[in-house]
Amino acid sequence: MRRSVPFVAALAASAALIGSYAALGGASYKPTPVASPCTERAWRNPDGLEATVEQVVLTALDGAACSLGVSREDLVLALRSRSSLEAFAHQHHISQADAARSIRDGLDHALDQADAHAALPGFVSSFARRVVESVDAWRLIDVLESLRGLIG
Amino acid sequence: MRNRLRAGLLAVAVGLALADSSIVTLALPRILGRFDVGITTVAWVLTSFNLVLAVVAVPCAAIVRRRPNATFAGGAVLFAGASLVCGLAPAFAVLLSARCVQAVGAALLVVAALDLGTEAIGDRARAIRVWVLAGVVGAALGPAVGGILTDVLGWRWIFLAQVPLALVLLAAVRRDSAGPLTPAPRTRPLPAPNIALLLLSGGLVAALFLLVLLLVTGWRMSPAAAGIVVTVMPLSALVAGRVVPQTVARSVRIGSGVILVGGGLGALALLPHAGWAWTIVPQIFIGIGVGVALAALTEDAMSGPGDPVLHGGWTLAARHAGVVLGLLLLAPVLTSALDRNKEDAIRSGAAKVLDSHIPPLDKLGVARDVLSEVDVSKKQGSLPDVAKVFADRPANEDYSSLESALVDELDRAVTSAFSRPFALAAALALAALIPLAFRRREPA
Repeated sequence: MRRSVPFVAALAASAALIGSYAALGGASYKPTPVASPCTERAWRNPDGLEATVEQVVLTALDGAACSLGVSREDLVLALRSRSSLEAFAHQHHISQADAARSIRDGLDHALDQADAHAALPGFVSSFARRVVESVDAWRLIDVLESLRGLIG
Repeated sequence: MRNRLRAGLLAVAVGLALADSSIVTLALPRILGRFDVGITTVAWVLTSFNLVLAVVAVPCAAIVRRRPNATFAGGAVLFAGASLVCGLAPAFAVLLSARCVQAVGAALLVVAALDLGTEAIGDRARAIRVWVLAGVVGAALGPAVGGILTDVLGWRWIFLAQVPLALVLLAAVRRDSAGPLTPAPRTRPLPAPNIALLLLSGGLVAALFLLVLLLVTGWRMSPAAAGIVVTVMPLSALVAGRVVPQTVARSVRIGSGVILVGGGLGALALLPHAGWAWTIVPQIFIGIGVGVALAALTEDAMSGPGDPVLHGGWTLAARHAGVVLGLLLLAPVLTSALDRNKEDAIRSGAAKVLDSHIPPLDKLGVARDVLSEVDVSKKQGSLPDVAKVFADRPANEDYSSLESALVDELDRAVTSAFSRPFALAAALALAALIPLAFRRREPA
């Protein structure tokens, strides 16, 4: 047997194995992409109070994230605690006041959308706007969390 | 005692002693939980054993050639005693110190077994093959056996279970002949095969340590199931070691074996999906490559002038220096890839939670719980367990499809994170061909 035959056989077998794994999708990992918050998402016609609140909150998150120049998901992850919100603000060089203003703007935008689609009764929308104007952003998150206990 | 049984006991001694080079891989998170140390510090339970083994292998070989049986007996007793102390260690410093002593016992046992094995088998080349393959089988099965013991009885039993086994090995001991001791002939290690052994062993760290870590920690297999999966590699090595004729030139066996190891590791770097079945063919390649190349490289390294036992010590030192090199190179690559992919996976996971059909007001709750699990897992040096987040939530279709989507996201991120260290390991293994290519022509 020629001395080179085992080398060539080992090389060919290895190349075939690596090639077939690559062809089947190896090393093609990409995380599921997240949508741009500045691209307007279609307003679904929510059914019931809970779904309406979700639609408003998601639209508000999109609006706030868009104005901050981050993804909606990064903003949600930052909102899990006061310390993570502070870290997020520090990382993106934005003051907490800017963050709070963006969240408030996002909620205003979401309530505009809800009004445009007649998703909320008029008095609920007015009440929500008063809350958004007078309560700081962090308290709003607490309010949403407490709603979970009331509705969920 | 019949030579066959004695040779078997000596092979068990090598397998047992070298299993300790990898046996605590899956127990590290539990040891971390027991002692107040950091993740980098706890990894020294693994690294210190290999480092000490590499450092003391040659001095131990010098002792072995004087009184092989007495050294074997001393190694077994030292190994058993240190294992007992490891199992009962009240503090991390005690555990680490006992691991170092255990490595000295292991070095004495393994080098003495080479000398005694040659005498029991009667054929040096065959004794070397048995010696090398016994070590490969031990190191390959070590992580899974350690994982099972940790799960069933607790991590301390990894060490306590070895005490009686080490003492049983004393049955292989005979009285040393009282003949005159000749001074050790001048023995210099052959650089090319020893450097090649070091590099190949560095690459094999991925197959011995990272693969089982991927199966158990990454893909959440039970240690017992992972243990069955990883037997493919040592079984392939054993079969290849028996089937490939020794008449094939040593350089041919080494070259083709190293290429197969590199090919198998390269394929592990390109796993198309998460799932143990995808690891089988690469493991067969690595196993065949190890069975063919490692024994041939060791024979090569021991073919130099001088004392064969001292040469054996050098090969053991080279192999375990390679394991240390592999651990030091691959662990940070894996850690940084896991951290980076985890950030991406968390962001994608948040998108999946927000777009899911679970009750809207629970979405923020799920996102927070997932992140808490991420924080807990980071402290424990493990990967997040998504199932825990859903354990107390309704078992309806909306929640279970979200759980599946998050698990899939995590699986893909973890599998991808392992691809870099596997690729680096493949390069390290293939680099073993370089010193061999540049050495002066030696007899095949």
